[in-house]
Amino acid sequence: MMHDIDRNNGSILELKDVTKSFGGIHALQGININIQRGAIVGLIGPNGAGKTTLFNMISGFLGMDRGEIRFNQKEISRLYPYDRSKLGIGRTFQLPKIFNNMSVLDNVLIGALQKSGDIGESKQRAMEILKDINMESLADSFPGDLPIASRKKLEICRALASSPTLLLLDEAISGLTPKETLEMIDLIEKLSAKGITLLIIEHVMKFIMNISQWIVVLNHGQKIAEDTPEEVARNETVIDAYLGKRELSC
Amino acid sequence: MEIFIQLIINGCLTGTTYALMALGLSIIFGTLGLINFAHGDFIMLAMYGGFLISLFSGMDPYLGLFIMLPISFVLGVGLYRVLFKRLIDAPEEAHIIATFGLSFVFQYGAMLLFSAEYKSVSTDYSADVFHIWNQYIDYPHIYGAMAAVILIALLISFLRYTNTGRAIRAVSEQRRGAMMIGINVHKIYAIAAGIGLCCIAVSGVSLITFESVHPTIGVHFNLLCWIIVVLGGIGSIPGTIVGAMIIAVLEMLVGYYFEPTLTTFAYFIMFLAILMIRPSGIFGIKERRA
Amino acid sequence: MKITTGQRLQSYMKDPLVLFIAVLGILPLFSSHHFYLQMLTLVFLFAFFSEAWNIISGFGKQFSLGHVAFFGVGAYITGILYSDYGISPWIGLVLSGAFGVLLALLIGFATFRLRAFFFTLSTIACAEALRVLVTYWRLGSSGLGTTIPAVNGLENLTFSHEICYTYIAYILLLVVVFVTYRITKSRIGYYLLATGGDEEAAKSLGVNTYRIKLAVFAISGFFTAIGGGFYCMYMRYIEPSMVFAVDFSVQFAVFAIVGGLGTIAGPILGSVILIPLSTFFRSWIGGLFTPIGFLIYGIILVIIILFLPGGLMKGISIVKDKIVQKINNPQE
Repeated sequence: MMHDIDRNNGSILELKDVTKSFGGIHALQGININIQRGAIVGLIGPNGAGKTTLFNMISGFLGMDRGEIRFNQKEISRLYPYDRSKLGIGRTFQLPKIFNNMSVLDNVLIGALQKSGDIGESKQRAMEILKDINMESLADSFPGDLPIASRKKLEICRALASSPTLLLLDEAISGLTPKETLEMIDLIEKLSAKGITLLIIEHVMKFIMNISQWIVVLNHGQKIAEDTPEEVARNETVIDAYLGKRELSC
Repeated sequence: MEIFIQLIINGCLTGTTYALMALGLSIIFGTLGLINFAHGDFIMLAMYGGFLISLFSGMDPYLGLFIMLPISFVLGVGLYRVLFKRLIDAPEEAHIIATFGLSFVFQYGAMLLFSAEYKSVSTDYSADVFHIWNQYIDYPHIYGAMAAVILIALLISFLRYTNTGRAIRAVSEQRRGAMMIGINVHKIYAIAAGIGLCCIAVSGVSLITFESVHPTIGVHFNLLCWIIVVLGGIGSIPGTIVGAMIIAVLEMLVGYYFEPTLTTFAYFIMFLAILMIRPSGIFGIKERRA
Repeated sequence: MKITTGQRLQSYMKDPLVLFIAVLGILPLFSSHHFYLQMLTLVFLFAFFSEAWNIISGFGKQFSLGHVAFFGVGAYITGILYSDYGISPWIGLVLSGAFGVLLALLIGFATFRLRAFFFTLSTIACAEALRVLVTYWRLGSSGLGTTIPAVNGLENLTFSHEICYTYIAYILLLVVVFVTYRITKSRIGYYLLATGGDEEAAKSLGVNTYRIKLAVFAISGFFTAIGGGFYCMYMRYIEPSMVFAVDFSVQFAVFAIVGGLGTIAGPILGSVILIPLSTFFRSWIGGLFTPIGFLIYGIILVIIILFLPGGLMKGISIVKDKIVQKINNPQE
């Protein structure tokens, strides 16, 4: 299953037989995934495939019925979300969860405070991160009325400030204009260049196929394929899952 | 032993009335997602409603339901239009404060209108008891339980067999999904609020036949209903009914064997215990605590 | 870059809040009229309670509607220890604070991992449970109410002149304002805001929201219990239905909400406006006011939540922004 080239880097995240059901419905069934250190991995699948459920499990917001999650070889499936964050797992949410009661800078500060309790020092670090992403002009404004693209970027900045080694992005592109999409691709490549491993949920196929080195496909709570983007695009099961049963999108 | 059985029977009879009022809360909370801390005060108002009807017309409070049920339904729809509609998309804490404010308006409004005195209603059957196997059961409780059972049965069949009822269940399970298949959610919300208040109207009228009312009694009922709903498991009708029975029997036992004034204390201890041991309630789906 | 105490003092002096509080501090000197001083004592005391409530419920968005539980526990511990056992109220206040912390930890422990409204519900349940428990417990001894004997002296926290109470209330307010201020400037404060803003997001950034809420609720309970003890020594009479009344919980919340939730100035502003107003109405309309007053509080709560969720402080900042805008672009 694994590519030999990638094996040299070792895996940062391993899911083994991860299973979860909600009141009799299998949300996830025996999922096995290995994420290679430093890779950009796309997680795709039709609506209701269990992608966000999987994210919630990796980041600790949902418990699972069975299985194992290993992060840097350490079993983490019983840890609380905040402890997983401290180990280096960062995430964004499908609908950005921004602290609307704080300025943009303070939003990023919350992430930065994880590394140092000193407010002044952390503020500087937060400002640097904002500058890096060309958001410093917004530092003092309140995020309530920001457009969706800025909210998504802010959420990434905030996660970035907590120095993650694995970053889970839940729909980084959906809802963005073509220009904003290009900026986001830039940002993601920048993150990857810093050595951060990225796991991305995305519906915009063109984008995810271009940017990822590896694609995992979920359907009805099961992993139906896992391969390079080129192979996945040719995979019959995947094409069936997408074309055969078209579901309403939210 | 006989006393014990008597307490259990009385507890179960009161329990059906409690079940009905807790279902009123449950349907509003489940469907609208509204955290209503004025629920107990609605019950207080319904009790005053029954009191006024018997005071002015001399009718049995139950007959007054023919007037009160339509008024309650309209009131529920009106409250939804004016207040709840604005609240449901706001964060939870806004629900809590606004409905708590509403509760204050009702409490002190009632105090101005009716004074702080205890009011009660006496009916032809107030003092009658039903005698069976050495047990004495008073008629007001029996009628109360009958009214509650009828309404709960109606409610369950309404939710199960009518289109509107099914739509209510669909909305409470998944609001976005329901919108997608073309359900007019605002209409459903308004109807659910109306039905919730109808449950309250019937339970309030039952209560006034065996318990006296005063303006701050709502605080007690509010707590009672929430504890029942949490105990049974949020969103579960059988859970709510079982929860109501447990609470009512507990109330009887604590009241008899320990001290009637300490029942509230017993609820609180029980409530904290549920939250620590099984926060999803008896019939609830388990969620991860984090 | 270390900030010296002098620099810190200077930066405090520029804050309009400091000016506002300083002005409040001079007010008791203007008149020695008993009625006037009494009103000021209540203003300071309720600003204090509202401020303590605001730490957990305003900044942290964890709505307690049973804060009177702490208040009542404080009042009863201090009052009974002094009147029945002759123990100095100062020791009583310390014990009150300790029990406040314990009670907060008990409630927080059971509810802070669950949905937010479970917390609100258990605060109400706790206040009601304590009310009936204390009523039951006191029925046996000296009847329902307890009168606190008056022996003047600092050690008894009993004074012949009202102004002493006024300034003790003022000092209590200063302490809670200072503590709140230091919290908001610390890591805990930022984490608390984040928890109130979006708990899941806060967790995903490594914030142990459970611990933050517990710590802050304990601080809030501590102050409220101490205030309850002082209130008992000030009123010289306690009774379960009085010191465990839901009304108090509502007042703490109303003052903060009217003034501005999650701001330091908000609770003070709310109490400065509403206490004199209600005192005025009470002396004007008489006893009839009490129900109408609370009726009005209820309506205010609903209206503010629906139309001005930020309270008066938000209103002030909107007006300020408009004026600044006018000055910058006079032609518009």
